[in-house]
Amino acid sequence: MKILIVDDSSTMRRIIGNVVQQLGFKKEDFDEAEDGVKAWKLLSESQYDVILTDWNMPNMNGLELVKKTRGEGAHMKTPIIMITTEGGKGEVITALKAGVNNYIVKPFNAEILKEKLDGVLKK
Amino acid sequence: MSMSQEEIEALMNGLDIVDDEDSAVQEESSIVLEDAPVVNTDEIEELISQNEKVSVEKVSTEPEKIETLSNEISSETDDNSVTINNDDIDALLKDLELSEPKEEEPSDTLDELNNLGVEPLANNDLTTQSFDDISADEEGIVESTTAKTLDEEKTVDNKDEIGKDWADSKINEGMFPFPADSDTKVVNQLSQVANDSEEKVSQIFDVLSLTLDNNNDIRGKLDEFDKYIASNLELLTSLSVKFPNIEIFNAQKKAAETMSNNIKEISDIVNTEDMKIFEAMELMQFNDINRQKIERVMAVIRKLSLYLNNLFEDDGTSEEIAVAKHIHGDTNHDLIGEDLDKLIDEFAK
Repeated sequence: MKILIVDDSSTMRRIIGNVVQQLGFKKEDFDEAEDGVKAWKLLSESQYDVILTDWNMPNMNGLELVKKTRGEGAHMKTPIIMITTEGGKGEVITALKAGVNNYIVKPFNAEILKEKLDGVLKK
Repeated sequence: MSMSQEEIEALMNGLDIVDDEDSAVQEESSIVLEDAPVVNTDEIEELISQNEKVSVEKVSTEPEKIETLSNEISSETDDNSVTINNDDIDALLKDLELSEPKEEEPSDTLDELNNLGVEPLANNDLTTQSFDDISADEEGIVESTTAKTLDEEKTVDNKDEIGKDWADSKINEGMFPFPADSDTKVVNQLSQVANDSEEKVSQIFDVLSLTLDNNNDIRGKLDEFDKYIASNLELLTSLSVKFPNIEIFNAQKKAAETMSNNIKEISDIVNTEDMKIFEAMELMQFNDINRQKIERVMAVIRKLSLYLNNLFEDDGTSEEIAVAKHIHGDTNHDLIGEDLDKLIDEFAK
């Protein structure tokens, strides 16, 4: 299984990567991108089973990436989980409407990510 | 105010001025070097003893060394590496800068007085102003226009320096904000704080990752120990069963059991440590959350700056109007008030 982690904060990418490793994945199982543009490039080059993306990022934000991914390319059906500090109800609705499969508000722990990952992968 | 011959001679002796015209120029510098710095050396030494920062060896009674030290201190203040203790050094330097011209100027005037055959005052605190008074009192002594021009130039320079020092001191006291440089602009500073924080957290993450890796190594080695001790325990158990009368087998068996338990305890400690490290890593998410809070503040400041600029700027069509410096009602000592008529009368004479 291949996971794409998209976040402009290198610390957050490492934290998410670490949590993913705690869930039993290996370092080779996930790639990282620091914004939507780089994520889109990776999505065009490789196939991923799950996308974990932040919302607020430079160049192309997470919401734009979700819309683009759902609109074109090879990952239109790939599960996307948005991991962000945006905790407003309106934002969650906007993200869900854009096509995310689940939503995690920072800070989170390994159990929450595992639960959400299991949820989107079962479907 | 007139002075007696004795007073003037005393002043001459006090300032160590020689009658010879050629040597007078050299003595001018010696007045500054020998008289003024000696007083300030004490102040510097006192400051050094208070601060315990600057080595006492640097301070010497020799004028050249004192000047070097003063330059060093002033260069430190120029570099903005001002500490709490350096405020005192700033104040001292200001005193030096303010006192030096006062001591130089009388020596210029003293030369003139010397040339004119007038013996100077026995007063080390003479200023240009006091000499002006003296020259005004003494009939037949006329100030040269060249000296006046030099004095004016020096006064302008001094005013600039005093103004700069005053502004610097207010910045150091925290009354004025720093000038709007790239390092001191608020948004830049916030951005720098966020980036620095991100960098440091990344370094902390490296340390925690290294600890996790080390714990994994320890866990691997503990497994090997555990296997070895388990095999030994099995051997010792069979030996103690076969040879129940040999006490050493029983004793070694118990020791092996104790070691096995210890290894399990160490393994538990390493696992608990891992859990704590994972918790710490999760808590580091707050760095990202706080960074985004800082970015939100930065966005507000940017918008506020744009709004205020739009609010205060004019369309550029109106010319700048000259503003009055002294207006009736101001609390200013320069206001002329009732002395106006007296001044006009005086000029009319």
